[in-house]
Formats: sequence, C-alpha cells, structure tokens
Amino acid sequence: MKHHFLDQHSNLHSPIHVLDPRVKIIALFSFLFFIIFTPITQAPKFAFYGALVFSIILISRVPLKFILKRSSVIVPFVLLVAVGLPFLGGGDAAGSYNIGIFRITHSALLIFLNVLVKSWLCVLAMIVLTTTTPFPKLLNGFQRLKLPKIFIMILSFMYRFIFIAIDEFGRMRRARDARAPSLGRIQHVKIVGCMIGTLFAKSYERGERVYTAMRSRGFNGEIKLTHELEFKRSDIFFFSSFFSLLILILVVV
Amino acid sequence: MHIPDGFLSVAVWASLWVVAMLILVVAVWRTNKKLGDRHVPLLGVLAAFIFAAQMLNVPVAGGTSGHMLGGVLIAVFVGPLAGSIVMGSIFGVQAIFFQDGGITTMGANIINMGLIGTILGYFIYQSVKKVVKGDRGMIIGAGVAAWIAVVLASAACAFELAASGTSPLGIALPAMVGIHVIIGIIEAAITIAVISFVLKTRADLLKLPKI
Amino acid sequence: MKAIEIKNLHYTYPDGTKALRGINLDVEREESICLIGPNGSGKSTLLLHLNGILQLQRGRVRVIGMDLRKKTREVRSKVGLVFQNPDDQMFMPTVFEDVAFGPVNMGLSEWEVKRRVRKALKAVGLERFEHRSSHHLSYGEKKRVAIATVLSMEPEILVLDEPTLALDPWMKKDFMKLLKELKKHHTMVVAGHDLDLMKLCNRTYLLNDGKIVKEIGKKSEIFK
Ligand SMILES: Nc1ncnc2c1ncn2[C@@H]1O[C@H](COP(=O)(O)OP(=O)(O)OP(=O)(O)O)[C@@H](O)[C@H]1O
Ligand SMILES: [Mg+2]
Repeated sequence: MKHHFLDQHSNLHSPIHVLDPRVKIIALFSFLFFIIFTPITQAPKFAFYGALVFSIILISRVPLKFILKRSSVIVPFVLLVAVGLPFLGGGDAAGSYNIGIFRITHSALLIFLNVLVKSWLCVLAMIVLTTTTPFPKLLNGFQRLKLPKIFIMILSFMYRFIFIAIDEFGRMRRARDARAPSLGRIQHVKIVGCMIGTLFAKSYERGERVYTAMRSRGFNGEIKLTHELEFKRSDIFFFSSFFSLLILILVVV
Repeated sequence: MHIPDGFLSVAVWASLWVVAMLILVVAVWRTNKKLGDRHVPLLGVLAAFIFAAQMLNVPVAGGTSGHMLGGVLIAVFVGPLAGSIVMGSIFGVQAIFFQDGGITTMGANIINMGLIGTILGYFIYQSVKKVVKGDRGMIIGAGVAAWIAVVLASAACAFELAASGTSPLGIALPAMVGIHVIIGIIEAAITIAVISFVLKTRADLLKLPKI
Repeated sequence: MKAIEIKNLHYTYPDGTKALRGINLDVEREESICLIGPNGSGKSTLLLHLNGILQLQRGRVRVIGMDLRKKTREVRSKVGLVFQNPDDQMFMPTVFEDVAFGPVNMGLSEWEVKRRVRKALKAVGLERFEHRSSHHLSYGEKKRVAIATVLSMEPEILVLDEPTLALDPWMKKDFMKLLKELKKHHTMVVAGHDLDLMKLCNRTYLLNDGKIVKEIGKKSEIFK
C-alpha cells in the first residue's frame, strides 16, 4: 500500500531538494531563531524574511497551494489569541482602536501581529524543509548533526513501522465496516479500543522479533549507522548566500 | 493543542525545553539500564503504534471528532519513563514532519501532551489502583488518569500562553479547559476500552516490566 | 570439517514449553538440507539456535568447527538467518541502510560496506533499489531484500525459515530460481511446509514434537 501523508513532494527534483539535509536543517533553525528574536516593531525585516521564504518555496517547485494549505495548522491558536485581545495590554489609550464595543489597544495589536507573523513564517519554513527532504535523509542529517543515536534509531523504527501499523488499522477497519457498518457511539469506542488493543499486542511482539533480527545481524548494543552524505558545491553556495542574506537583513534593514 | 512557534516567550519555551530534555535524558538512561539494548526496537515500534492509534477518530458531536493522545495508555503498558520516550519521539516527529507544533515550543508540547500523561497520569493511575483493587482498579485508574491528563494538558497550555503574555489567563484557561473537559472523556473512554480488551484477551501484556 | 554439528540439543521456553527434545543433525559443507514438519514441531526454534539467538541450554552446537557457546560472535558472522516475515527483518527506513546494517555492525570500512550492499542487491536482482523506502516494496521484493540483508554479511551458511510462505505462484517460481543460485555457493538449511523446497535440497528431515523423526527420500513418505 502507498502512503502519501509522509514524504509528499519530497522526491521532486529541484535545487532545494538536492541540498544536503544538514545544510537545510541548520538554515531552518537559524531562520527560526532570527524570526523569534526579531522584535515585531521592525516590520520591514519581516517583509524581507517573508520574501526569503517565498523565493525558496518558488525555487523548490513545491506547489504553493499545498504549502499555504498546510500552514493553516496555526489557525486555531491565532484565533485563541484574537479572542483574548480586547483584554490585553490595557492602559495604552493613545493608540487604541474601537471595534464594536471592544477596545483594542495598540500593544495588544502588536501582540497579535507578533504571534501571527512569526508563527506563520516559522511554519512556512518548516514546511519547506519537510516537503523537500525525505524522512530518511532528514534523519541522516540529524544523525550527522549529533542528535543522540538512540533517538535516531527509535525514529527510524518509528518511520519504518508507522506504515505497517496504519495498514493493519486499515485492514481491521475494513473488517469492522464489513460486519457492522453503522454503530452507536459507545459501540464505536469499544471497537476502536479492540483495534488499538490488538495492534498493541502485535506491535509488542514485533518489537521482540525485530530485536532478534538485529542481534542475528551482529547488533550488540552499540548503535552504528550509515549515512551517505557529502557536502557539494551547491550546498556551500546555498549556505553562504542564505546566511549572507539573513545577516544583511539584520544589519541593513 | 500543539503550540506553534512564536506563541511563547523565550523565557517560557527555553525553560520548558530544558525541563523536557532533562526528563527524556533520565528516561533514556534508566531504560537503557533496565532493558539493555532490547528497548531500542521496542520503543520505536510502540511509537509507531501510538502514532497510528492517534489517527483513529471517534465521532464526538456536530460532525467533529476526536482522537486519543495515548500518554496514559502507553505508560500503563510499559511504565512512565519508557512511555515518556515514546511520547517524546512522537511529538518530535509531529513537529518536524507535520508542523503540528513548533520547534521552539517542542519542549512545551512534549510536556503538555506527553509527559503530563506518562508521568503525572501514571502516578494518578497507581494511586487509584491502590484504593480500588484488581482489574476494576486498573480500568478506573487508567480512565481517571487519562481524563485528568488531558484536562491538565490544556490547563498547562493556557498557563504557558498567559505567562508569555500572548493570551490572558481569564480567556485562555476557560476556552482550553472547557473544550478539553469533553475531549478528555474520549481519551478516557478509549483508554478504558483498550485496557478492558487487553485484560480479556492478553492479560499478560499488562504485566510487562514497567520502567 | 562439517558445516554444522548438532548433538543432543534440548530447548525449553521460559513458559515451560519443551520445543526441542534431543536433536542430532550433521550438515556437510556445500550441502543443503530441508526441515519439514507440522506447526509447532520446533523448526524455527532449531534455526534460531544456529545463529546463537537462543541461548544453548542442553547439548552442543558447532558451526564450521567453532563451538557456539564460546564463539557466538564469529558464528553469527558465518551464519545468515532469514526470518519468516520480511517486515521483522527489515527495520531501517531505506533498503540501503537495511542491507548495510549487518556489515556496519561487523565494523567494515565505509567503502567495503557499499561494495557489499551493491553485491548483495545484485545477487537478489534488485540493483536499483538502494534508495527506495522499505515500506514501498511489494511482498516479493521485501523477501528478496530480506535475503540481501543477510547476503551482505557474506555468510557461508544460509538459514531460511519458510522462505516461500505467502508468495504467489509466479513470484515463487522466480524465488526458487534465486534459491537454486544461492545454493551453489552456500551451505543451506531451509525450513518449511513446502514440498518444492524438498526437491531443491540434498536431504530432507521430518521434525515432530521437537525431535527429528526420520530422513525422507520421496514426497510420498511424509504422511506415513
Ligand atoms: N517465544 C516462545 N515462548 C514460548 N513458547 C514458544 C515460543 N516460541 C515458540 N514456542 C513454542 O515452541 C514450540 C515450537 O515452536 P516453533 O516456532 O519452533 O515451531 P515451528 O516448527 O517453527 O512451527 P511453524 O511451522 O508454525 O512455524 C511450539 O509449541 C511453540 O508454541
Ligand atoms: Mg516456524
């Protein structure tokens, strides 16, 4: 069975896709820090950060619609903050706005802009990273950046077996729908419970068998991993230009 | 409840990152000592399992549906520390690969939705089990712990937002907790259903070593 | 020197199930033998011993002259064990990483690891699969990769647990061809209910209730 919820678009070909994952990870994390630590009052800077993200999206050839749609994950939180706005930052009467019976102060508006702009730019950057890098490569990157091996290994197993677990749920769900197409809520919970319980038993046993298989191939507790990463000229080019731009925005704008 | 980047102040997210990492490091160290290298594939496979289980939806009302977090459930099976590693891995992957939650806020999310369930929830489960004996204690304990964990998670989230100055406590707390009082019932119902099923069919799995 | 010598091997699982009750078996080098028997007769348990996965409880196992008890590590590098279910054997995200897992654990150089991965994938006819994700493979492809994960360790002895289980007839035909090819360069021990496997092997033994009941010449003798 094919699964598209992970690694969608990550096997396209573009100058961004072929970059070394380490470069992309470091670039992303620095980008996040630049954004988080820039005061929201410096509006032009954020315009440039936005331009930077969108030009990378353009180069990556990942459909813009897909990225924008996915960036909507931040909406619930933005709404939550919006609801609280009239009750924030009281006192600053000079720069306040009236919306109906509510009065929103200037500082409250800044708080709103702060979360909206920053979270949106950050989430866009994250989406670019994951839509241009397949999961195994990203793990390779994190591994070379010295994330503890134990986590790399657990995440590898997780990635490998997510698909099997989902397939198994799919099979159980079809079996359920075939026998009992419409159910009350309590019944539904009960059956979901059975499915999860069954899968837990299967997963636990699988964990034991995989361990056996690892040992039979010479695993004796010490995790050794392979990687196939090498910096290319394009990596160095991207890295240096990306950072020059960030610093340029920081200093000049 | 996955907090995105930008919603927490530096002081808040940085300190929660530190706390989350400290707990996870201790958890890895203790599991290593107790299980040896055997835990590596097991925790990975269980993380995949919880991840997939979170994709199963249960209809709530008015066309919306909820799914479980699974922190209490996994802790009941494999113990609080091993469970914490599983949940930490899941929220890490969700942040990095699905943008469900940010990078700077990852520590907060791991604590709210993961560690509160696996550690605090497990403690509640154990306490209830001491009062109510036998299988009933297990089922009631897990259900109560699951509900409390979800409600506490939403409260923690509201407090973090308030401490960061992004949303006043008077708004965030009732809004978050109000919704999660209901979502918590689903969490509890599924947790109870899973545990009663396993008690009936594979009771041995509830006697696994707890870490 | 014999490839495998098993003397009076007993094994009891922690829950008290007596899975093996005195197995005696010798396998010559370059020979291939087949173990058949009903479910629960102890085939898998026996195979797991050949690779030192199960701790020796009673009896003796020697592999290429080495005592299993003393030289578990060396024995593991000589014996390649292919499990029944390829999803248990392939646990890394990509085919390359999976096939490389054994050689990397053996501490080989990066260059040698790559060479072995290519060679192993070529042997099972999947040269271009290095960078594929493990979960996107068909069942037959997974079975082949599972064999490659073991071939990359360049074992002298191949141990296969039910290799033809759940293959469709076309896939099975290809697969038997592959086994025939592998047989030329390896000592092979195969377990299964599949009678076609018997034809492939020099000798066939019938297991029942943890004991080798008899050696079998022709198919017709099995059900007696
Ligand atoms: N981990 C285990 N714990 C307890 N008993 C076990 C375990 N694994 C196998 N057994 C038991 O040991 C006996 C031999 O099992 P084994 O798996 O070796 O049989 P088999 O011949 O490979 O069967 P099959 O054809 O079904 O694969 C069976 O009675 C089985 O129930
Ligand atoms: Mg078997």
